[in-house]
Amino acid sequence: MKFSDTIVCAIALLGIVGCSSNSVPQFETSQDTDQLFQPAREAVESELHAAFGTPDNLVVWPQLPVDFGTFSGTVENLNSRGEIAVPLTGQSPLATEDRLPELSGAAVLVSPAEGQETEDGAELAAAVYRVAHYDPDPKSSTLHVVGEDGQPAQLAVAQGDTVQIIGDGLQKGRNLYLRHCVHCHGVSGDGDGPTAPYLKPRPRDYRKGIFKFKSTPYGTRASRDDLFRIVKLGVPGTYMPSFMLLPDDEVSAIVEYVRWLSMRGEMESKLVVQLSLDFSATRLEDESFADVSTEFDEFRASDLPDIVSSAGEELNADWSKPEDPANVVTPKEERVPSTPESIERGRKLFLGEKTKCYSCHGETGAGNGTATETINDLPGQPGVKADEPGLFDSWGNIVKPRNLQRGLYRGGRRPVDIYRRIHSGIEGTPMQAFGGNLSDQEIWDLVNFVLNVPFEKKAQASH
Amino acid sequence: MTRFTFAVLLPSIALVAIGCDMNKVDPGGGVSSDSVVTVRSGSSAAPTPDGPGGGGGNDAASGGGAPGKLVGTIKFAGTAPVLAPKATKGNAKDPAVCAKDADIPDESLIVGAGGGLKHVFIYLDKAPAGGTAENPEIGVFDQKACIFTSHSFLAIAGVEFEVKNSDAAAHNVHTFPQLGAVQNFGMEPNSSTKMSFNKAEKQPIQIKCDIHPWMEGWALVLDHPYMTTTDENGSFELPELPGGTYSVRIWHERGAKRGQLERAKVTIDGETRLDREFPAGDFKL
Repeated sequence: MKFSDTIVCAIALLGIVGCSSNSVPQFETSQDTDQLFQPAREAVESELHAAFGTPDNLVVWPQLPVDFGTFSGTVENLNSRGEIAVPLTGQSPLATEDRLPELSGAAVLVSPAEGQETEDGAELAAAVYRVAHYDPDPKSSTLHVVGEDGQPAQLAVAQGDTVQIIGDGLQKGRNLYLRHCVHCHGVSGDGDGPTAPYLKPRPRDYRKGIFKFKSTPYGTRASRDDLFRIVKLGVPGTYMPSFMLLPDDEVSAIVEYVRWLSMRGEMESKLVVQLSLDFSATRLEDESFADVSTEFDEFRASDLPDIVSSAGEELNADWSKPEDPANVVTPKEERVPSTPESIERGRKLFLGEKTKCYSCHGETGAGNGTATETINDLPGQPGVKADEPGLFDSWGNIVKPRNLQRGLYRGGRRPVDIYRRIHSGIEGTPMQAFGGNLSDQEIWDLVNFVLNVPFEKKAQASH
Repeated sequence: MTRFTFAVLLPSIALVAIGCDMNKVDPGGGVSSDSVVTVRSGSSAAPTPDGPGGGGGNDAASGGGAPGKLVGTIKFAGTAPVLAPKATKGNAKDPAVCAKDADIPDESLIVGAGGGLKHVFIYLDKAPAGGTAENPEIGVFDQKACIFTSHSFLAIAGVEFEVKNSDAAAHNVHTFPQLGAVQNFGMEPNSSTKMSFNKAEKQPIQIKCDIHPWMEGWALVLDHPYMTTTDENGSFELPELPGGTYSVRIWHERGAKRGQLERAKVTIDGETRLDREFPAGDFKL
């Protein structure tokens, strides 16, 4: 085949692939889920589907500490064409004055005005619809709704009812995520988008709920502010760009969606951990499908509901915690001035036995300590040696200790950023927390030393 | 040929340019569609298919029988491989402290003279109804001569215990839980601190020191005391259980199926024995 023919074919193929209908986004299951006994895998999928839905049918699980976006208002008028006159007030920080919310597809809950009861005295339940279209003209403020099935609905709405519109924030985050983030981070947030195989370091896989660069202690989730900062500023020295040009409300919407994807991933792994010892697909090697099935049905009926509800409670607690300012790592003492004495004290700590920083970062801070030359066991596979030397992160990738000579700080270059890396460590990596080990003064001395490393060589050379 | 190429090329480019631009969402990456929202209501668990229901959990006692301890021996069947030391004497990092006087053994498979297997965890998922055993005092987690002195460690979720570094070298304690919060903190030479695990786990979890990568141990964190490990003879003893039938997990770090050697059905009627012998094929060797 001639070169020109190849180009024609390639472009024609691109045209076909680029617009094909199989580009509908799907959440994928994790490898661990795939290794389960089939009915167990289906149960995990069904629980995840009930709690999170699909990228096209997003589920709002009110138990989660996610700002799904809520607008509300009181019905002024209605007609039989599925139109409700209701001026809406934004209660969501995701809404801004100059940006009209994209409400299409969001859920609509209509609750009767207080005091109304059914004929037998019970409280009236909220009716559920979906937004077909919202006309935000302040004169009419008309909400067009359809049923949850997308078909025209019989309206059970009266004047004075309260209308809540839920989930538009999540939709907004989802749309922006699919536009800006999905290439690298993947639809499921598994860090395995189409571009990911070509990147090193790999894009973050959110599903463990672990983020490296944050202001909270080791083991505590990242706060909204932390994620906002990372999206705005990017991660220097990696492929994560700065999204400084996006308006704040869009960045906030992306952050909420990323938090929600993390919770989905964590939920999946919480369920799988409970199932993988007993309901792995390998059981079928020496047991019958029917036997394992019977045992699983029993487990599903008696244990799974509790596991799901406590997983929801844990997600709520874990992701609410970083929002409490008491859980933000804040230096107790002011930064020690970066004097030659302080830098020297920092150097002694760096090279000393109290911290052993040099063991990974190298004696000159070049990120080439002896730990990077050791061949370690593969993560999670004790006794199985890796092919190449180096330290591993929690995602199973080789992770390089930072080369401090380059002056590129992934989590930010403010002194407090470096303070937090030393005080709280970097979650998911061998970088440990020294906050329990070192005083604030010692940490600041190390900060001063670290920030001075890029200039050391020049200073030495000029002597 | 050149002309033909262009004739085909141009419409193709046009197709690429126009074809994907029709969707409102325009996510750029080739993923485009609209979305709707559903609010999850009512109970948090998805509906289950028709099952027997109300099974009462896996470790609940059923039936009668007298209360008693569960004792027994776990053995490795046949000849166990001899594992090379992780570091030989005088050939480790920080030689003034680590492997100074002796080799650093590989503790991941220790088989005694009679075939008894050490460091096997024996436990129940949940405390039995009517169980009266109290939570044990948690031991000290010590690091000495660059070895975790407890290669298999037992802890209760939320209960603090002492972590020591008895060495003249810095260590770090890095945990790899499946359900609880990850921990990784540095410990300066000859120091001591407190730690706890925040959540009960389903199986033992790994603890490592990244500074001395051969340092490795396993901890089982539960919210009840019905757990133990085997000694150098492979022997173990679980606290007294009410009479009834239980699922007992037998777990070893080299077990081929995620560490689990067996989930044994045991009926307690007075002091009861659980003796097992596992062939080499049940292990990752």
